[in-house]
Amino acid sequence: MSHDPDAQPSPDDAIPPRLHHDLVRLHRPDGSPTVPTDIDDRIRLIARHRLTQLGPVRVHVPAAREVDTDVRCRRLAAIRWIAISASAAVLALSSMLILPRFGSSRGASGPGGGLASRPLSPDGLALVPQSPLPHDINNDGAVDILDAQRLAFVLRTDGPREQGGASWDINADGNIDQADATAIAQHVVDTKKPGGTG
Amino acid sequence: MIYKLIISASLFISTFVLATSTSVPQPVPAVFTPTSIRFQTIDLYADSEDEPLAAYQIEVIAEFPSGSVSLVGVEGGDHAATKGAFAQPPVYDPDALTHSRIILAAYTSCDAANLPIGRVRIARLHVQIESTAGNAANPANDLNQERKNITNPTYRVRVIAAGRADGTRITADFEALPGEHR
Repeated sequence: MSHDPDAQPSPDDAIPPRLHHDLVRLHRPDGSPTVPTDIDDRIRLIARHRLTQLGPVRVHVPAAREVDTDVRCRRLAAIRWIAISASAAVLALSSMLILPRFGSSRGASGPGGGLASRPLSPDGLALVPQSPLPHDINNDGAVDILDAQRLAFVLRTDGPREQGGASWDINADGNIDQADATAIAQHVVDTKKPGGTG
Repeated sequence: MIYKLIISASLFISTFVLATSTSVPQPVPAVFTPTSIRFQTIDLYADSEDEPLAAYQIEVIAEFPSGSVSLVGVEGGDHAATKGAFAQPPVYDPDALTHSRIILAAYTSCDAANLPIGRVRIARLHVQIESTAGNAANPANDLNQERKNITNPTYRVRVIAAGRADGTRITADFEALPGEHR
C-alpha cells in the first residue's frame, strides 16, 4: 500500500484499480504515519508466494543476525554430540572393566585342575588350544571314571586304540597314553564343569 | 542451555560410574563366629561283593546345619586290603576343598586278579569342622562341655560309577564312616 495511490498505479495486476484505491483509502486514516514502500513490496511478495503455493516463504532477516543464530545452533548440536559420545565412552569403558571381574571367577581351577585350565606353550607366550571334552570311551552313554578305566585297560592290554582315533587324545598332545586317562579322571571330578556329573 | 547440557551429562556419567562401581558383588563375610574348630577323619568304604573293583567315582556330601565342614586332606585306602590298587589318593577337584561336597574318583591299571573284592577302605578324608553351637549357652567357653553340645555332621555318599578292570559298570555300595574327633 503506497503513500499516494493516485500518483502510483497499482503494482498488483490481479486487483482492479478501483478496488485497490478504495482499500488504500480505507486503511489510511488522515495523519497516520506512512508505511515504507519496500515493506509493502515484501508483503505483497509473500502473499503472492502463498497464493500460488510455490513453497515456503523465507522472510528476509538481516544477514549478521542469521549467521549468529546458525553458529549458535551448530555449537549446541556439537555439544550435544560430545555429551552423548562421552556417555557412550564411559559405558563402554565401564563394561570393559567390570565384565571381566564377573568372568574371572569362572574357569579358574587350582593345581591339577585338568581340562579347566588352559596350559601355556613352552615359551609361555601363547595358549595351547583347549583339549576336547572326554568322549564316552566305553560307550555306556555317560562320561565318567569308567571311561578313564576303559582307556587305561586298552592301553595296558594293547587293545585296539585306533578305534578311538584322535578323539581319545584327550590332552591333545599327539599321543594316546595314560596321561589321557588321567585327564578324563580330572575332568569328571571337576565340580564346576557345565553339565557334568558333578 | 549449554551449561544445562554439560551439567546433566556430568551428572549422568558420575551416577553411572558410581552405580557400576557399587554394583560389583562383594564377598559377604561369615556372620557367625566359630566357637570350636576340630578335625575329623572320614573313612570311605566300598563293597563290590564278589566283583573286583577297578574304578569308582563318588560324591561325598557333608551336612552340618550348625556350622561348616571343610575338606583339608585326602589320602588313599587300605594298602593291604585293596592290594595296592587304591593306595594312592583318589583324584579330586582342589577347588572343592572349601565346600561341603566333593567328587572323588580313582581308576587302576591292575589285573583283575590284583583288584580288591568285598568290603575295603578305599580312601580317607580329613575334614575341619567349625561349629557355632553352644556359643550363647556357654559363655565360659568350657571346651569339654561345648563338645558334648555340638551336633556332629552327617555324611552322605552318592555313587556315580563303579566298574571292572575293562571299564564295564558294576553295582557297589559305598559308605562314609566318621572317625574320632581330634
